[in-house]
Amino acid sequence: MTLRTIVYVSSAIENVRGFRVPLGLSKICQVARKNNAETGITGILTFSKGHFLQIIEGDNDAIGHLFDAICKDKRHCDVVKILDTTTDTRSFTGWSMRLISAVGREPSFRKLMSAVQPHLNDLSEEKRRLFSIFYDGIGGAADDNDFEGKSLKLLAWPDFTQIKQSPTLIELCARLTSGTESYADILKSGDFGTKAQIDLFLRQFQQMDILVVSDEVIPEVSQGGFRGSQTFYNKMKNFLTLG
Amino acid sequence: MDCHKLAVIGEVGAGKTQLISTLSEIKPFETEAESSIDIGKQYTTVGIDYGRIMLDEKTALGLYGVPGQDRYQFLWEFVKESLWGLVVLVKYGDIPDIDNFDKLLTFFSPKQNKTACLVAITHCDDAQESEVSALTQEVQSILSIHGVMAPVINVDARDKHSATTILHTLNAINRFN
Repeated sequence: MTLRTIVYVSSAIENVRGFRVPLGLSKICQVARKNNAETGITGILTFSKGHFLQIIEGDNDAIGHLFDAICKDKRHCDVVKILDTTTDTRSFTGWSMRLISAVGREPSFRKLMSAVQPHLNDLSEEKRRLFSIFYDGIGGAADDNDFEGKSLKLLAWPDFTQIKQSPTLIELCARLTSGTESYADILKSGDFGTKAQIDLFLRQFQQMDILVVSDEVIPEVSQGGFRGSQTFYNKMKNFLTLG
Repeated sequence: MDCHKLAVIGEVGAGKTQLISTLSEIKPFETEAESSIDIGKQYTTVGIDYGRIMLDEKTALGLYGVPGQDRYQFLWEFVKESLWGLVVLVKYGDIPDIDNFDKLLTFFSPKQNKTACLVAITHCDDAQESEVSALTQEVQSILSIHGVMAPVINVDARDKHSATTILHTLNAINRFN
């Protein structure tokens, strides 16, 4: 069966002092999942820098009707169709609409992009600019999984639906969101688990596209990196440990 | 007495009173009144709920639950100084009132004041993971407007273990802040 696939980028409406916030995203996903399941449509949705990227795939007519409805939806504007093509197989089987945060790292997305690469090469400059908000066309550089001698920084807190909340993880995130820290210091502190546990956390951060690994030289940190009140921290930690 | 302050702010039904009650070691002082309109529950907070945790005989954390609507700014004023932590509760299933959220972040200015801040999503029991993830993205977008890098965690305000995650997180943020 031939499937139709549409890829489009749109802008969230300006809703907070000129900023574009994806208001109602959870409702959009909820409704899309229900409706798409009924019409046999699958796809993904992602949001970045005030823009949505959505890919929908399914029967030709069903996709046509859905895209017409999408264009009329008042929750976004400036809908630009990036691709409208046909494929033989689904790229997003089982996902009636999956929200993805780091789309460039999603294997099924990257596989589809490889398949449609000739179309991507023909995009106009404006479409290429819009699409590059989400995908650089290269698929991202390979991750460096060896953190020895490196410095680390988190660009954001992780999405805790993707990684299990734990006190150790939270301490690590608090440290890495507060500034750049050396991997050696993180290991040496003993506060964030074993090397294997820390490496696992770091690899998960890489998958979420929130970890910056650099060669920046960071002066050795004393007193366990404390910047706040160590006394109150210790009292609170003791209270929490005792339960 | 070395007394630190934790402010818990959220819209109607987000779970402020419940969270204070779950965390507090004393019977909380609650300021709930019967609602005159249908808000999905009989009582709602109209003043400050107060609870307390004693860390030792000379150190305490005061828990202040404050309504999230901006008409209660006079109460926000009361708790805003020298905060150890700011918790914004968001109820899953409701679309966040972004204008109000924006006013709240402008008022408390956690980035400028270097206040440890987190957003806790409540009422997630029956929620699909992907929908909580979507709400997290909405909230993060609003935080980013204010340059605030803060965790968005899921909390069951009725459950002590879950509720103490808030304290763990704020303590960790304050350590490196």
